[in-house]
Amino acid sequence: MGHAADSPAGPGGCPQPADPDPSALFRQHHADLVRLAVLLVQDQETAEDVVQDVFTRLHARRASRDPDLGLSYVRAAVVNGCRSVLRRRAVARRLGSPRWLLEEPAQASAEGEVILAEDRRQVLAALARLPRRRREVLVLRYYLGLSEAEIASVLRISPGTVKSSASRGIAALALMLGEES
Amino acid sequence: MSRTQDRLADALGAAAAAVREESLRPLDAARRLRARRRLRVLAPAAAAVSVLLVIGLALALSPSARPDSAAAGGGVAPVVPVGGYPTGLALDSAHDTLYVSAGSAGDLSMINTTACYASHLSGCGRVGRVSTGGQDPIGVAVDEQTHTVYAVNAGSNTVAVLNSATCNATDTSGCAAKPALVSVPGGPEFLAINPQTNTIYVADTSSGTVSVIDGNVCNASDVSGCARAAATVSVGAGAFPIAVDPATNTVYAGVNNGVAVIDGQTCDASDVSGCGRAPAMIPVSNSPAGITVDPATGTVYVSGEGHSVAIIPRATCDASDTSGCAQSPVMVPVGSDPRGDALDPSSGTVYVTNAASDTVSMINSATCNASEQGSCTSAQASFPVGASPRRLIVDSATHTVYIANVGASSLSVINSATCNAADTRGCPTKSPAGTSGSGLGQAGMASTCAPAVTAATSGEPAGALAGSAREVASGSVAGQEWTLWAKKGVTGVNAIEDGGVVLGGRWYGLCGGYPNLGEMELVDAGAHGIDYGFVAFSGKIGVKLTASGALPDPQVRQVASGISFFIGGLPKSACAYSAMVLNASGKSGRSMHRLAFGSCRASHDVAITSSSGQWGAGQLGTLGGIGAGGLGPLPSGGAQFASMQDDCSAQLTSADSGDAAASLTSSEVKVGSGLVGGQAWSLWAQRGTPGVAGVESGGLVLGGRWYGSCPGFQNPAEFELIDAGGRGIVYGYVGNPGHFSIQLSSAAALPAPASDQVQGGTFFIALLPKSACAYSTMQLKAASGSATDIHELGFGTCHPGQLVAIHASQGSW
Repeated sequence: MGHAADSPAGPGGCPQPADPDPSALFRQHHADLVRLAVLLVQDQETAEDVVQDVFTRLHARRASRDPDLGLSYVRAAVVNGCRSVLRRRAVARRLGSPRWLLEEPAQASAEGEVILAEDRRQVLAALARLPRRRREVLVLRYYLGLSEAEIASVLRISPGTVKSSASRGIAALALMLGEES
Repeated sequence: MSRTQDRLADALGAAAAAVREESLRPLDAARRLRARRRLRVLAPAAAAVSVLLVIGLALALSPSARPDSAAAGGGVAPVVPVGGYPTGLALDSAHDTLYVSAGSAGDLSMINTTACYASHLSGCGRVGRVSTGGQDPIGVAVDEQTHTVYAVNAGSNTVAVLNSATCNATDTSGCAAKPALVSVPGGPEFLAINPQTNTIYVADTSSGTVSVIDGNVCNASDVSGCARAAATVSVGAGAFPIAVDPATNTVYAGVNNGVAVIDGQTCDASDVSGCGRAPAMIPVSNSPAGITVDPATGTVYVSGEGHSVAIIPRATCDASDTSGCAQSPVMVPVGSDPRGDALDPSSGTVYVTNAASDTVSMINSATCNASEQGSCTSAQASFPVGASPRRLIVDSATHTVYIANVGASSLSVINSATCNAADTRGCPTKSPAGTSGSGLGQAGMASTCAPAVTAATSGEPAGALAGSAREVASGSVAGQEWTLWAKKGVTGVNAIEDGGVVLGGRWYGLCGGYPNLGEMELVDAGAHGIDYGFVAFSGKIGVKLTASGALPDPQVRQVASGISFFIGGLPKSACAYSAMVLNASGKSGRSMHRLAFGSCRASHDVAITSSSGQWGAGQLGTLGGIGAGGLGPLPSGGAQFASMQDDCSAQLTSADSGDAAASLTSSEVKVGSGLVGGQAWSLWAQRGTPGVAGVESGGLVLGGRWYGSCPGFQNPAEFELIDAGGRGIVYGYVGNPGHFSIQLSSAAALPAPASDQVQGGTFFIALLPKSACAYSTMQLKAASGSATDIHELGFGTCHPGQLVAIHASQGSW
């Protein structure tokens, strides 16, 4: 896994103070990280598993005192964890497994049914049909409100690719939703 | 923003808001061994067994199940299964009823507190239920004066108003009545009542407000005022725990990094003139999660996420005097992630749930309060309960503490007369069986273990360990001395993961029990291989190893609580074993772990190429089928297991293939091109990503359209079929190094594709004699001098311009 936020040295090459303990970082952002993961994998239990796994992994690495365990890094780890889940689903599909084995999103939770009116569900369903990278870019842009540069850092792609993925993703969504754009 | 952008932002926000803080399982590295996991192994036999297991567990936890009475007599807290996510608790002493909000189950459970208390548990199995007329009830509170139960429907932004006189544990005649509903702003979770002013205060987590409901005109017998818009107090983001101190008419509402202090005298049912005023704030660095006021000592106890409880003197921080609110509070160390607190006045104990430790700490309210802190700094006594305890409530009349174990869908029932801060003789000493975690795990290779030394780096000189680790066990195996080391300053399995095994002066790493409770490594130690590993459940463990036949039993050593280490010599060289099965069993858990091994290297761990298995803790009596017989025969020859783990994440799958190619070529680099059936094709790889991963992140461009691919995993030879209009086009990639000859066949042999070396593998593409829709299966045989990969695919429905979906895949390689 790559380090989205590298460069432990601050301006002038002086070491910056160590980032906060990953536990604190996670506890502070736990719910928001799960929310981010939910938007990518579409079910809360899997999203919690993803965040828990990332947390566990970083916790195990705590002794190594990684200087770059910032929020950007943690977000990147969560996005990567979501990708792994989506990969497994894809392979399960490829292997022709019975449906009940697939890690498909569970039925939307009870409260989700209420909160998510039909038109919102249409938008999310359309989002789910986009290619992975476009979906990730749109979630980071329109949920987290990250800048192109920040998204590029989290996804490890160029700002140009962020821009093109975002505009093409919106265009594809508009098409699917029958809008002008 | 365009309308699409607006709609997207709105839908994402709404979907994210549906994730409620209170419904989340707590984060905890220590919990990793018991983490709830979903089914992940594809082997049909394993899956069939696990479905039976899941059903068994569901039955065991069904609401009709009796409490764990066998455990009640021992050192185990009795538990009452209630189902769902039990998040909120309220007592109605007039009707002897404990109301438990069931979170995701969408209703309240009702338990008779005269038949289920302290150590009297005969009536615990009878759990009544009542709907709250909304989604996801979380907070619940009772106003005994008006016989009203107020339940927060977190998913519906409403508060349900129920009649406790006609809907309780012994009388359910009124339970079918539709409750009145009060609308509140976004994300309500918990609530508190001031019975003296008949005011209900609801903490609205998302909107950062506290809603003020007039209970005089909105209760079980008078709902005339329920539809009235509630006054709100703006308290700040994350309003979540809330408590009322009727004596001072003060409302304490926990928000992110603080507690808001609301003056109830000018903000209650009869006077809302002061609700608009900004409340005083108590700085609490960790997000507060539970608030309790002890009127006897004038102390506000605030448990916060982290490891401590804050002590706030009420005398200088209440509705009439906020002069001391800004002072940093005294912090009392408790367990990990304290989430809830409740006071038992008779024993002088504040009980604090530690959600991540699965324990409850007890603070002595006589010696650790606002004015006296003698016992605050010493370790607080604690006892184990079920998984992820959060809210709790004390019934002083029966000396009972009810603790909601969110992770176990149960309540622990504790006798506060014999288990309190001053007297722990009656406290449980063990976690209830079968209630910690789900009791079942399965996975492929998704281990997130990060040992200090991996197969690739194992065999380093052991000197590096000496300064930073301590020896925790030693012995000899196959004539060699072995020692086991744990990293200093790291606890539990993590310490051993960061330490390792030293054998013949060399250092070998290992994963200590994650995600499978039984983990194993194989060392190429010369003529006789050495196996070693961990089993992460408590008690005496038996370890059996099999390859094609049974292998000698390894020696097993308990090295820490709940962790056993094993090590053994093998009859043959490590290089002779292509696969091995570990079966570990004990009273508290079992693990089956099947590993396949790659090439051996002297004085190194043998690389593990595939891993699958099942494991469980707790109620494993139902785990028939796992154990001596394993889950099925080992694969023969050099074939790999079909595991669902893979590294493929094609940019375009069959469902979304055929996009315009421009978006691909902006960030990728062209690595091959040619002509097929008169059309130009080009192959693209992600810039800077070598090998198959680069190709996977790129794709094939044909006729101006972009098609994805999953090269090289799990079968190194993968291929795809495009419905290209007239005749179908097949293309693929063999991830093994070297040049492979490619043969394709369906019912009969197909034309040999063109192939070329790309990114270290072999790319091939061919025009088929017929339309892609004409092929229901196809076989690929890729052969080089040293290896043969066979891959057979079954195809689904074709769509012009898209990849044909693959619905079956098998092969050997």
